[in-house]
Amino acid sequence: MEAKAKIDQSKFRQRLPDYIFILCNTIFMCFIILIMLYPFVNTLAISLNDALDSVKGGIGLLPRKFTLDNFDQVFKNARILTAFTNSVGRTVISTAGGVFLCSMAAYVLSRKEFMWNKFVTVFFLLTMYISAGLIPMYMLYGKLSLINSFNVYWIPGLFGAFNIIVIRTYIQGLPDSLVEAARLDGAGEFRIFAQIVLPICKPVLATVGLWIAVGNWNDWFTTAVYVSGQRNIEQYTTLQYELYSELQSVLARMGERQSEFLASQGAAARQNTTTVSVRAATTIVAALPILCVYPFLQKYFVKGVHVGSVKG
Amino acid sequence: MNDTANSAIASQNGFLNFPKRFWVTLTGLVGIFIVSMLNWAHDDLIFQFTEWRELFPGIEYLRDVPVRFGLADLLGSYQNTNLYFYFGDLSQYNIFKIMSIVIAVLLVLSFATVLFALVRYRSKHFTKLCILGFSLFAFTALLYIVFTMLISTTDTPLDTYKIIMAVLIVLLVASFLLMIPVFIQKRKDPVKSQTVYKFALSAFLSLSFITITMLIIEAMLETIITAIPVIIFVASLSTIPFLLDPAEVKSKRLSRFLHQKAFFYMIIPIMAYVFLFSYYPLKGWEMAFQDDPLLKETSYIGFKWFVFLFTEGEFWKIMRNTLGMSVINLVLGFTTSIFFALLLNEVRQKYFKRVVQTISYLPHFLSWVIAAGMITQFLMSDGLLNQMLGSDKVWLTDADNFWWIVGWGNVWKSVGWNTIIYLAAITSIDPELYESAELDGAGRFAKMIHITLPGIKSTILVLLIMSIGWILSAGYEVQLLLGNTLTWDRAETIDTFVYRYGIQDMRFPLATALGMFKTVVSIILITGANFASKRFAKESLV
Repeated sequence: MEAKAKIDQSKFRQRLPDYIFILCNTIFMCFIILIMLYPFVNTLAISLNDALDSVKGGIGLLPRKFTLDNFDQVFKNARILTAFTNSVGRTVISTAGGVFLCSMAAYVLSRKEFMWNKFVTVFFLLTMYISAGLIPMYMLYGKLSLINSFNVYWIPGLFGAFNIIVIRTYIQGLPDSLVEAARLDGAGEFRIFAQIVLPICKPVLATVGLWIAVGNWNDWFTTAVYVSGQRNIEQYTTLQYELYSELQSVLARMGERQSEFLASQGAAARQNTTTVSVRAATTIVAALPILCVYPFLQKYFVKGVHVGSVKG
Repeated sequence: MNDTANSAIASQNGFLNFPKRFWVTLTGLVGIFIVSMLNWAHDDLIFQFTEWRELFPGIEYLRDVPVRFGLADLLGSYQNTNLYFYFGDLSQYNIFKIMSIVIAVLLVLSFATVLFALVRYRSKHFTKLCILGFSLFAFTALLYIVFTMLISTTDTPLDTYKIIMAVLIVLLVASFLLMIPVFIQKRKDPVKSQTVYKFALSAFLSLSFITITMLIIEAMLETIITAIPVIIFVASLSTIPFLLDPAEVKSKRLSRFLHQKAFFYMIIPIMAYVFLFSYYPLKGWEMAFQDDPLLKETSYIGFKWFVFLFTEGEFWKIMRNTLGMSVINLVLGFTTSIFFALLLNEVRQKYFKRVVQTISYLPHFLSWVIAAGMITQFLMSDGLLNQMLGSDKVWLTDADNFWWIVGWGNVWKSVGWNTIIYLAAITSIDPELYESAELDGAGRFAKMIHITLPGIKSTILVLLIMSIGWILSAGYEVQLLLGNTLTWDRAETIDTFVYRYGIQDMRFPLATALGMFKTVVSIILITGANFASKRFAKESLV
């Protein structure tokens, strides 16, 4: 008994550095969680806090004076409602169109017997590295009259070389006999694609669809570049663009204040009263759909990264 | 069996009692007819005799359709045409008249051939007649395009588009001509002629694809209605594969093509789309060699903008900012994500690990706008950082901090996501290594340093080489979102410069020159990186 206890003790002593390491590691991980989550919880707290009270600062993880007024203000704002509709609309259309186009291209490229297989693959892959740049694209969109229209949100962005590679890799993993059997039964290529390959590819289509959807939802730059003029912006604004312009005004005020040495502090502070809380509420509205969805779907995203790193 | 079923359906439908190929040919014929009509309606040279026009009642209305086809409107300014520019005065040879008549005769001929084939749709020569008619039509259209290009008015003698088109069409004709002798010789010496034939055929196919796509795009960009003849032309050409029976065709390649025609119908529209949005804009690079369009008429001025760019102090400032932020992002991003992946790998409780992972992915899924808003909140004069430090410094208006703010912002947003690839690499390390290390008395920390880290060395190397290829892309979103008047000196990167000067200040040529510079250098770097990683890591990236 005594001997065994001794051994245990020595083992413990031997393992002591390990335990310290695990402890430090766990503390570090908790620290990471805090860093990643704090800004969101803080924004949520501000958005649920009374606007006048928020200006005093010092709101941490919980709202001090609970109210839903800020959200009420956001949803009463006609401009933000338009932005919300546009954001949802472009996300839905781009995702549906993009998934269809990419999967059709991927199906054709996954067939080894296709004559132009190599040429088309290279033709598509080169687009990942060659880009004409912003100005030629702007000129082209102007010629196609995509500027200042809703179409600029979905027409140019349907194609994605990387998405095609991911779907193609998945289709190549399916047994060939599936397609062969359908072909023997007399189905045409498009029919095989639409009725046999597409339903089987649901997991990978979900991955690609989510990428496209998140990319579209998060995009503000398209609006900033291709929509100009007060009336057009009011009509074609998106949620992210609204956040962007609010942020710009905050930063501009910050620069002003710095250079003018708090000349008009009172007025600036009063203006802040509404913007800080409303901005927090808008941020929550813009972030909430993704926050709700991503924990359940992250395995699809991760899978996609693996496929891409192997084959890309 | 199949035939009887077909005829049963056909007899029910009554007048639809024709095979599929009849309807397809009819469509093609209508296409030819419309193109010819549009052409004739615009061609004053042949139809200057009004009595000819009366043969086709209603053709006058077609004259109002502003189509690209038609020579008449070009005749007024012969002195300005490319033809005059390159070949001098040829008006004495009546070249317009001759060309117009040749084209009209060829159109009539192709129309007649297809019509004849349609009438005799049961004969065994049907296929041959159809191919003859349609290829005659295609040939006529190409001839026509070359001719309109030559006689079209031009403000600058050096119109890139026309030169590209002329080169394309010369190559197209050359590869087509190359195929003919090889095709004849093929029967005598099949092996020798095979490679030349293959080369010529693939050149012909890809060139005709590019030519036709460029034609459609050019036509569409003028007005949609201008594109109608070209679209009809392409549509009537695309009916050809339906007319041929793969079993009857002698050429192996052609029969393979016919078996796969569905693939082509699926992929060619997508290729055209990709061409339009990814390759066609490259033509806009010519803007970098032109004078400012806002100041005067476009004219070519060579490398003036590039010289201007490289001698201007602004450019070197932008390069310094871009490279500075890229290097900071690279170093911070790599060290933190490797560090985090190594530590995350040591977490043994499965659920805790999963929770940490999920939460660390969170910022990756949110837009830069939201992230920038949170960074601003954090760095405000009454923000969290100042509360912790006990100061009231305004971090975002201090230019010296900007690169580090961008760097740490990037780390916060993507550190969790970047660990995925390292964690995957870690799982492929041989577990025996850990066991033998344990026998040697190594602790967890020692194992992490001496086994896990060397185990993912090749992954790190490949990723590092790959990101060096993208070193000129320091991002534009953070800079545009967080930069302000006080920090622009440090925030301006290549991409933001292109946006701010190009789109906002409308200085197109300068911004295009800079964008072009970036793309070219990036392609060189990426090719180099791919070569290097092939050499060192035996793994291709592209």
